[in-house]
Amino acid sequence: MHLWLVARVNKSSSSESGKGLSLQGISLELGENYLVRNLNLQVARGEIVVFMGASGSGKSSLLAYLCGALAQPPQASGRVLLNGEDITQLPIHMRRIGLLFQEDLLFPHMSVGENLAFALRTVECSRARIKEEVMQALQQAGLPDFAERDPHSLSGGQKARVSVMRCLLAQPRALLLDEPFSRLDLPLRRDFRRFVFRKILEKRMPTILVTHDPADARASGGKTLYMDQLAL
Amino acid sequence: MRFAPPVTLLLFLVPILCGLCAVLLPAFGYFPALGLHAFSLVPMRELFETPFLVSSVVFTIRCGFLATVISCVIVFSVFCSFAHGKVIGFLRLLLAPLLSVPHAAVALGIGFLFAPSGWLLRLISPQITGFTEPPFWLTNPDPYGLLYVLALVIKEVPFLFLIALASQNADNSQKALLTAQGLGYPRREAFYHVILPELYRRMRLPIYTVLAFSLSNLEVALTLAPSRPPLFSRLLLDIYNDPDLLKQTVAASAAFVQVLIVLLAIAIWRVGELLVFNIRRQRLERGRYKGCNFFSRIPSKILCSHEVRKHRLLLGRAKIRQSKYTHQHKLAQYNFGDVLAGASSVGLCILGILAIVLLPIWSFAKVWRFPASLPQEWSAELWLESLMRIIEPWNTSLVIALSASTCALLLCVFCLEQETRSKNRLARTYSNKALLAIYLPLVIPQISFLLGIQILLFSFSVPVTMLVVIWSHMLFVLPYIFLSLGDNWRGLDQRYQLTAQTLGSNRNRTMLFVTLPMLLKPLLTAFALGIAVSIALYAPTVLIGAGRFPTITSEAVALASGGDRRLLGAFAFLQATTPCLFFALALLIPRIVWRKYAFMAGG
Repeated sequence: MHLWLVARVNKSSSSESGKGLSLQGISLELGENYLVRNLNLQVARGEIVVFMGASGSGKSSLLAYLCGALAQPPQASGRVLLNGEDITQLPIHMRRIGLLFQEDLLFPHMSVGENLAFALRTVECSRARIKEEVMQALQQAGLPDFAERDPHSLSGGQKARVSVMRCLLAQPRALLLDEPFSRLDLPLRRDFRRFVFRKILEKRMPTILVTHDPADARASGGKTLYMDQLAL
Repeated sequence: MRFAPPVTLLLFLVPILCGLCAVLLPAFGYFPALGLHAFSLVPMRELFETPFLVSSVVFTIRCGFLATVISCVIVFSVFCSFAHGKVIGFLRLLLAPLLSVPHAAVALGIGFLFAPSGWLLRLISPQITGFTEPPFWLTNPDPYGLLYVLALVIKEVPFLFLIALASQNADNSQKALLTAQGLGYPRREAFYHVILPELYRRMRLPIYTVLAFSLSNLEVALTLAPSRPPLFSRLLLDIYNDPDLLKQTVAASAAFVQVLIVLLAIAIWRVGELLVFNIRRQRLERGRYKGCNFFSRIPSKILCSHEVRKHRLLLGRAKIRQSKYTHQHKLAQYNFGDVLAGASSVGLCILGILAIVLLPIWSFAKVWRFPASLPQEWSAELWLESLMRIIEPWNTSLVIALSASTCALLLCVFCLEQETRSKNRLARTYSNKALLAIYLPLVIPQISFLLGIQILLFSFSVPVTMLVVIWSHMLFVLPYIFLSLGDNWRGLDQRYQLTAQTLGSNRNRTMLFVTLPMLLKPLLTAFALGIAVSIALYAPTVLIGAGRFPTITSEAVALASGGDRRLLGAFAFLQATTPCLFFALALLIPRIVWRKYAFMAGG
C-alpha cells in the first residue's frame, strides 16, 4: 500500500510539472545570518517536499512566510507563486494555503460539526450543502456520528483526522504541514500519515512537510531538503 | 483598527498631560480665568502657611508607606510559606470577592466595626469588657491613622495577591524552588533568591500603583483618617472647596506638591528595592547559605498541634525529624513565620468579610442599642422610604460604569487586536511600550491631574455633562481593563487565529468568531473589573462632575461624615454588592454559554 502511494505521488509530480507551488529566490535573514538563502523550488501538484532540520533552523519561519504569517524579524524576500499566480502580497485568508500544525487546534468553543462548517462558510455554500459536506467529511474521517461532539472529548487520533478534514474542506490549493504527526504515538502516527498522504494524493495538492522524523520523510516519498544546506 | 493604539494614547496622554500643565500654571500664580496673568510664588507661599501642612505630609507618607509595606510583606510571606499548596487556592477563594468591593465600602464597614459602639466591641460586651455603654475612645477616626492603614491593607492585599498569582509561573517556580532547596537553601532563603526577584519585577507597577493610591486617595481618607492632622489629599480637598475662588491657585499648588510627594515616595521605594536586591546579591555571592532563619529559631513546639507534641514526647525530637513523610511532620514544617503569614491573611479576609456583612445589617436595623450584637428590631422601612434617594445615584453609577467600561473594553480589544495583527515585532514592541502610558492614571495622584482637567474645563467654559464624567471614569477604568485582559489576550495561542485565516476567514471574521468567543470569560471578567473600578471612583465624580451627578460612592462618602448610619449602610451595601453582581455574571455566563464544551467551561 505504502509503496503504491509513493509511486503514485512521484508519478503525479512528474506529470504535473509547471503547476503547483513555486518558490522563487526565497531568503530568510536573521541579523547577519541567513536561515534560508535564495531558495528556488517547484512543488508539483500531488508532490510532497520535506524540509528537515534542527530546532531554530527556520523551518517554521519558512512555512509562516509561505502562508503570509511571518512576523519580522527575520527579514524575508522572494516570491511565492501558486499555480502561476503570485501570492506573495496576498493576505493569509486569500492565499488558500492549508496549514496543519503539530496540535490539532480545533476551536474549543465549537462542536466537531461547527469546526468543519467554519471552513465551508467562507466558500459560499448553502446551509443544506454545508450540512451535507460536513457529514461527508465526517464519514471520510471515520467519525460519522461525531458532528455534535465536543472536540475536547475526542481522542488524539480523532482530533487529528477532524483537523485534516477541516483543512481540506476549505479547498486549499496547497498544503503546509508543520510536524503534524509528531505528537501521535507510533501506530497512530502510521495510520494518520497514511490518511493524510492519501488525501493529498486525492486532492492533488502541492505539499510541504516540515519534520524532525526521518520516517515521515521516507513515508512521504518526496524529495527531502535539509535546512542547514539551504542557509549556505 | 490600525488607529486604535494612537487614539487610545491620545485619549489618555493628552488629558493627563494637559491636566498636569493646567495644575502647574495656576500653582505658580498664572490663572487667566481668575484675572491672574503673571507668574508668582504667592500660591506656594500661601500653601506653606496652611496649618498642619508639614505634619500632614509626614502623616501621609507614613500611612502610605505603612499600608504598602504591610500589604507587600503579607502577600510575599504567604507566597513564600504556602506557594504551590492548597492554602493558596483557599486564600484565593477568600480574597477574590474582596477585590470587587470598593475601597469606600470597606472603609465604611471598618468604621462600623471599630467604632466605640462598633460591632467588635458589641460582640464582646458586656461579658468580657463590662461595657454597657459605648466607651469614649478615639477609634474612628483614630489619631494615628491605623484604621486608614488597615482598610487600605484589607483592599490592597487581595489586589497584590491576585496579581502575584497571575504573575507567577506555578510550574517553573516550583521547580526552581525545589532546585534551590536541593542545593541546600532553606525554603525562605530559596524563595528570596530564586522566586522573589522575578515575581517582584512583574509586580513592580501594581506595587507603585498601591503606593500612589495609599498616598493620594480621597474616599478612605474622608471616611477613616483623622482631620488633625489631615491626610494631604483631604487637606487639598478642603482648600479646593474653599468658597474663595482665589484659593484655587493654592489648591493647584497643593496638587502639584502631591505629585511631588508621590514621585518622591516612588523614588524612595525604588532605592529601597535596589538596597534589598543588592543585599540579596551580596549574600548570594558570599556562597552557600549558612545562617539560620530567624523564625525557625522559635521553637515550633508552641506552634504544633497537640498530636505533634504527643508524637514528639513519644519518639523524641531526633526521631520526629527523620519521619519526613508523616502528616505530623508536615505540620511541624510550618514555622512561626508561616503561621503568622497565614493568620494575617485569613484575619484580613475575616475582617473584610465582617465589614461587608455589617453594611446590610445596619441598613435593616430599626433599633440596635449598645451592647446588643444584633439589632433588637429589624425593618425594611429605610429602604422603602429612601428608595428614590438610593435608586437615583445607583442608576447614575450604573450608567457611568456601564458606559465607561464598554468604551474602555472596546478600546482595549481594538488595541490588543491591532497588536496581534502587527507583523513587525519591533513595531509591536514599541507599541507595547507606548501603551504603558495608559497606566499613568494609576501612578499619578488622581486628584492632581483631575484638578487640572477641571481647571481646563472651567477655563474653556466646557459644560459639565454626563459624557465628561463618563470620560473621566474611563481614564481610570481602561488601565485596569488593559491590565486584566492584556495577558489573557496575548496568552491565546495565535495559531488558532492563523488556522482560521488559512481556512479562508478574514481578520475581522476571525476576531468575531474565534478570538472573542474564546476569550469570553476574560472579556467579561475585565468588564466586571471595569464596573467595579468605576463604581468605586470618588474623585472624578466629585471633581469633574462638580457634584452634579451623585453616585452611590459619592453619596456614601458624603454620609460618612455624620449622616444616618442606616442610610450609609444601604449605600455602602449597594456599593459593595453591585460589582459582585457583575463578577458573578462574568463567572456564570461563560458556564452557561459553553456548557457543552468542557475546555471552554473550565478555562
